[in-house]
Amino acid sequence: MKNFNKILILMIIAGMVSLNACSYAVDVVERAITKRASFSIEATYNGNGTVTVRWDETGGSNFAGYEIYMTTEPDNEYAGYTVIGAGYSISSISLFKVDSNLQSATANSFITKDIRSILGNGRFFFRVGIIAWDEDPDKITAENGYTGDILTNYINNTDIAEISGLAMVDIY
Amino acid sequence: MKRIILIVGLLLSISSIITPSLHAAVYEASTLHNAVARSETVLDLFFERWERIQNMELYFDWYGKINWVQGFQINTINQGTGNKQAVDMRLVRAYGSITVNIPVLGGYEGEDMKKRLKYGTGAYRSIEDPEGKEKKDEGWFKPKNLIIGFTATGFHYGLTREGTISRGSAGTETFTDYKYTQFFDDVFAASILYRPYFHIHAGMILNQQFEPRDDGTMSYSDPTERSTRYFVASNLLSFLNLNATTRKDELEALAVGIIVNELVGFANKKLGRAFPQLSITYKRLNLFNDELYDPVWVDSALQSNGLPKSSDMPDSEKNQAMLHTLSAGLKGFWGNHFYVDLLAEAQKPSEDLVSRITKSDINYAIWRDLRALAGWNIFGSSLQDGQFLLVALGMSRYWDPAIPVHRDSGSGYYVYGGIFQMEGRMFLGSVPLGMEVRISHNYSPELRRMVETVDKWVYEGSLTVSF
Repeated sequence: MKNFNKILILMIIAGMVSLNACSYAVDVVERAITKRASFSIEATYNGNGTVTVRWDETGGSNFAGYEIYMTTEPDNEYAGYTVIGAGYSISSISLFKVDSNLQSATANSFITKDIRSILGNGRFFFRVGIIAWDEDPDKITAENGYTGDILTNYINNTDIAEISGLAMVDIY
Repeated sequence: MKRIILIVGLLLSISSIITPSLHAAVYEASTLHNAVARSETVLDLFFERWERIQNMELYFDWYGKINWVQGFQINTINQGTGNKQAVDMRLVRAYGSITVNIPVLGGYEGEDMKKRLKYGTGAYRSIEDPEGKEKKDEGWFKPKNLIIGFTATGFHYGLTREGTISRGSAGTETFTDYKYTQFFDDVFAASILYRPYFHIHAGMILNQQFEPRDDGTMSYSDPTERSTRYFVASNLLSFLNLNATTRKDELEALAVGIIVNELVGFANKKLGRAFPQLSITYKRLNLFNDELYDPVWVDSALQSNGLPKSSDMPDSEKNQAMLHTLSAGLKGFWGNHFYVDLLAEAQKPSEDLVSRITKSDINYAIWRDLRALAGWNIFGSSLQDGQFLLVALGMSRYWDPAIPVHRDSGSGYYVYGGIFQMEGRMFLGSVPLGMEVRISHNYSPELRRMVETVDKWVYEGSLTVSF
């Protein structure tokens, strides 16, 4: 019986170790640190200067909202991204639009403002960010820097938890 | 689970330092595409960990390292314009290893790691019995120390690009995309240890390549290339190492090594332990295969029909060459303070090799790797309790036919390099925690792992948890 238990333990441990492909495990750690693009999205030009962005990924346990980003320099994949949509008023640029729907974990699309009238024609790139509170729900307290004002909390206590890959759109 | 991953990641990131961007070089993967060389690299990590496991008599070993090398400027398509432009990218190298050893019969002596690590203690050298006299009546067929182990070791290599996002009043954050081929190599092995008479490792090496999507994401489920190798590594009577790797019924790599100290120890135990570990190793590796990524053509730059060799020639035109190496190494502490790591490795290819840059025969150098590292243990006599803090400096000269392909300037096949490293171990309760920080430039062990890092500064850190 003693030997049987040892063999059983050996088999369980062998299974655990063999399931742990270390190359994937270390990549998961590294990509979490560097916020690697982890899901795909679609973006479609609507013909009137606006773009519809769609995604299937849902928020996690500390979900705080979705944010939509785009490159504001035309025809440059490697330009920096700027927030153009969020569930809270976190930007004052003309492209930015508050959409309370983005506060919901079930949201899966966003329609931009008229980009053509602001930036003109060109090829632009879009991404979606899943935003998370930096504390678990039971630790969202004043001691942890949460003041009670939802906008202030959002600005000071959230980070991008997941970021999408890019979606390219020609605006004309 | 996510929180655990992030905590582990943060622990790793504490000891991982981003390299400064110094030189711009157009990146061309060679070692990375060579699964033979990558298998050698991941096996080296496996053996490196097992050397520690044997020395420290471990039941559990977890090791993680993240290494970022900046300064890879890649000529790549900008999807915005459709034109190529130079874009800064980061080379990611992440390594991990986990080993679990189960004592089936007997096991290591000593109640915990702290006692096992004490100098002069351990399974065969207790304080009361420094010469191991009490063990003399133990025969080969009295299995009092049989241990079975399982190990998973893995590497991920690949390029990533970092971008920035302005979140308005919520601040600015960065993200990364996968770029170009991503390489994942894993070793899965089972081990039997019947100390001190023999140990055997046997397992599989899985080499996989993945192509990221154009949007910067990647799925683990659909490798574009996958190859499997099998290996056996054994040690007899603590002094004789025999390692072999096969692929498709072909012996791809073979190594035979002797640990001189253990051999001397049969005649005189005190003399065997009086100096750092001296080892002599012969290896042969089917390293050159006329593949697209190789820096050389084997035997000739021409096919049998007189046409130049190229990436689209039939397999029947491909030749293969082995690299034979013979090395001598001296490694370990000399007393409580002084640490030394010396290596001299000679080489000889089995066939003539032709440079793809100059189209002429390469005059293969005799010396592949010459290096010397010396260190000082600040903790001194605490070494006897298994604790140390080693500060070391090293120099090397490394020769490789791929160096002219990747170096930023010059055209030679060899480079001189150096390293500064700090390595320490201390106890949390009775569990030893290890850390290491290295700063190197063209140091040969780094170039052996990946010659593409030539002329780049490499800063890296690692953490180890063992018991």
